[in-house]
Amino acid sequence: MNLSDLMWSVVGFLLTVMVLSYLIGDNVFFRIAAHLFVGISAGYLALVIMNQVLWPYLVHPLLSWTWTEKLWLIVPLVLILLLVISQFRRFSGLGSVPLAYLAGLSAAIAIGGALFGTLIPQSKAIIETFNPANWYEESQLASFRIIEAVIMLLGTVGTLAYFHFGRKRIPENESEESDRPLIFEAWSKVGQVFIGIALGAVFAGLFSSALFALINRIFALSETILILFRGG
Amino acid sequence: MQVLICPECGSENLLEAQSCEKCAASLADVSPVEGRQGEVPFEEEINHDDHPESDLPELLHALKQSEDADGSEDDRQNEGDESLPDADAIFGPEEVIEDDDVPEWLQRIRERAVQEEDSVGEITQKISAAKESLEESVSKDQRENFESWIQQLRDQAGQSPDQQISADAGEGSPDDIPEWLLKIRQESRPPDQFELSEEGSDTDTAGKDLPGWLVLSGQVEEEQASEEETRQIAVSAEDVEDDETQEVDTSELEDIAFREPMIAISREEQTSIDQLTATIADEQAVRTTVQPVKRPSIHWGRLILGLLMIVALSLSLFFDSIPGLPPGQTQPYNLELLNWAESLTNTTSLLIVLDYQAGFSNELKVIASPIIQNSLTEVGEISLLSSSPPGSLLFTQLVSELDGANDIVLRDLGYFPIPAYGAYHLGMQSDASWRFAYLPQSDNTLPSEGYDGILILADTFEGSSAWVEQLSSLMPDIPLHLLVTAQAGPLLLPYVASGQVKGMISGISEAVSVISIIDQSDGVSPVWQAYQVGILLVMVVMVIGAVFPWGKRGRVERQKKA
Repeated sequence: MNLSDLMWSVVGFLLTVMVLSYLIGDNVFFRIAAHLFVGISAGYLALVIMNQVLWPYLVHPLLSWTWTEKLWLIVPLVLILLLVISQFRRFSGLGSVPLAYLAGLSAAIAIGGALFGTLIPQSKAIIETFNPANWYEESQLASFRIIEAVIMLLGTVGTLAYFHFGRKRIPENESEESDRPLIFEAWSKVGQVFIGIALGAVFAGLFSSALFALINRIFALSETILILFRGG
Repeated sequence: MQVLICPECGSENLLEAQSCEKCAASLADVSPVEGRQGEVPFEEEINHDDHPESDLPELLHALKQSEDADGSEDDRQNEGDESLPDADAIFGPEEVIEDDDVPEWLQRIRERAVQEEDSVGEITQKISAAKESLEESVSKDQRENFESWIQQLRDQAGQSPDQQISADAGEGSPDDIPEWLLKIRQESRPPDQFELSEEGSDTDTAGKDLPGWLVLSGQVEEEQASEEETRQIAVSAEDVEDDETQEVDTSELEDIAFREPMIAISREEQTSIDQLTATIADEQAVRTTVQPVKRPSIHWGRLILGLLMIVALSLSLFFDSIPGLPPGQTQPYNLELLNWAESLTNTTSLLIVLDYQAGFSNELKVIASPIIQNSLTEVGEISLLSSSPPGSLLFTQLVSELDGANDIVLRDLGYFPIPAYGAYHLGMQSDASWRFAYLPQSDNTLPSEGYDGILILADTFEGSSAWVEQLSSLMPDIPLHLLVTAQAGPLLLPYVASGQVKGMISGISEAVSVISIIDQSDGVSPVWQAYQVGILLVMVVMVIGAVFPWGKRGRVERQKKA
C-alpha cells in the first residue's frame, strides 16, 4: 500500500468514527463529518455538471460550431439568461419562463413513462395471469398458477379498495357524509394486509442495504487498524 | 342630478317618481331641485340592494346602520303622526324615558323642535349618525372619510350662495340672533375644566357601581352630545324661520367629536395604572438571560444496541469458524440474467446505466462483480451512461479491481442529471423520426444504433424505475437487466413479472446464490456471515421490543395500565 492509499484509508477511518459517534448523541464530530459530506458532494456535483453538461452541450458548441449552427443555441441561452436574471428581485418574474418549460417537459416525460412504462404493461400482466392457457403451460404448476392469480386478484382489488376514499353526501344533511360502503370497508381490510406485507418487504430491503453498508464500514475500520499496526 | 324632495318626509326621490318612496306622499306638485353630487339620490344609493354592502365605506355602513336602527322607530312614528318622521333620530327612546332628568332648556328646545315640522332634516340625521360612528372608532381612515363627507355637505349646502346666511354666532350680528338661541348658547357652554376629585365623591351619586373617572367621562360625553344637539336644532330652527338655506360651519362639530375628555382617577386606580405600566415596561425591557447549558443527552438504549451490533458484526467478520446458512434458492429472474450475461460475445454492443451513490458501491460491487468478471470481459466495448454524479467513477473503480480489466473498453457517454431525461434522450435517438434535420451533433452524442442489451446498476427504486419506464416503452426490443440493491429490489419485481425487465439480481442474498452457481465466492463468505448475524440480531431486538416495550411507548402503556 502506497502513501496515498494509506492517507485516504486514515481519512476514511476518521470520518467513519466521526459518523458512528452519533451513537452517543449529536456532537461536533458528527456535525463536522456531515458538513464535509454536504460540501464535498456539492462541489463535486458542480464540477461534474460543468465538465459533463455545460462544456459538451453549451460551451464547446459555442466555440466550435459555425454561426448558422450557433442559432440552435439561442433558445437554451435565452432560457439560461432568464433564469440568471430572475435572481434579481426586479426581474424575478422572468424566471417562471424557464421553470415553466422545465416543469412542463418533466411532467410530459414522467406522465408518458408512467402510462406506457408502468400502468399499461402491468395492467396487461395482471390480466395475463387469468389466462387459462398460461396456467396449463406447465401442468405440474397449474394449481400454483391459479392460486397465484387468485392472490393477485385479492391483492389488487383490496389495495384499490383501501385507497377508495369517496363518500356519499347524506341528502338530509348536506354537510355530513355517509360511511364508506360495507363492501369497500371489507375489501380495504384485505388490502391492508397486502399493503402491510409490501411495506414490510420494502423495510426489510432498506434495512438489508443499511446493514451491508455498516458491515462494509466495520470491515474497512478493521483493515485500517491492521494496516497501521502491522504495517500493511 | 335633480331630485324631488318629498314635502311630507323630506326624503329625496327620483325625478320621475310620482309618489314618495318612503311615505308614499304625492309628488305631483313638487318642483325638482338639485340633488346630491352623486348620480343617484343618497337614500337610494345606500338602501339599494344591488350594491354589495362590502363595497360601501365604513362611514356609509355606519350611516346605513343608523338609518336601519331608526327605521323601525320611524315606521311606528309615521303610523301615529306622519308629520314628525325624524323626531326619534334626534330624541332617542332613552332620552324620552329620562325626561325628568332633562334640564329645562333642553326640554324647551325639544318642544320647539316638535312644533316645527322640518326642524330636523336629513342633514341633521347624517351629522348625528356620523358623530356616533366617529365616537365608536377613532381610526385615521374614518377621520379622513368624515372630513371628506363634511366637505361634501358643505358643498351641498353652498349650492345657493345668494341665499346663504351665516349660522355661526360669531359671524352674525347679535341683533339677528333670536333670544331663545342666545339662551341656549349661554346655558350649554361647556365647562372650561373639570374639577377633579381624588376620592371621586362627586361622581358617586351619578353611578354607584362605576368608577368615578368613568362616570365623569360619561358626563363629558353627554354634555357634548347635548351641545351638539342644541346646535343642530338651532340651525334647523333658523332655517325654518328665515326660510333660507344656511351654511353650517361643521368645524366646531369636528372639534367636539374629537375632543378627548379629561379623566378623573382615584388613588387606587392610579396605583393600578402604575403597576400595569411597570409590567409592560418590564416585559419590553432588554435583559441578559443566562441560558442553561444544555448537556448532550446520551441515548443509552441506542448506544448499547449500536455497540452490540458492531461487536457482533466484528466477531462474525473475523471468526470464519462461525457456520453460515447456505444461500437461498436462485430465482428464475436471477438465472435469466446469468444466462444473458454468458451469451454476450465480443461483437455485442452493451450499454450500462449507472444510477447509484458511493454509499452503496460496495453492495453493488458484491452483486455485479461476479457477472462482470464471468461474462462482460468478453464484450468488446461497453458504453456507460450515468444519472448519478459519481456513477462513471465508481464503475471504473469497480472494473479496475477485477481480473482481466485491461480487456474491457469503456466508453463514457456522459452524465444526465435527471434519469428520465437521459432515458428519453436515449430512446428518441433510436427513432429517426424524432431527430431535427439540421441539428448539429455535440461531442457526447448517444449512439443512434440500437444496443444488444442494457444493464442498469441502481441503488434506489426511483432511479431504476425511471430508466425502466422510458426504455421499456421506447426501446421494447432491447432486453433490460437490473443489478440493484436490496432496498430497490422488492419494488422492481412487478417490472420483472410483467416482462419489461428480463433479469434481475437484487441484494446480497440473491448475489450469494448466483455466486454459488458460478463458483466465485472470493471474499464474500465473511460478509455473508456477518450479514446473517446482523439480521438475526435485529430480529431478536424487534421481538424483545414488541414483548417488552420501553422508551416513550412503554411509558405510555405502563401509565395506561396503572
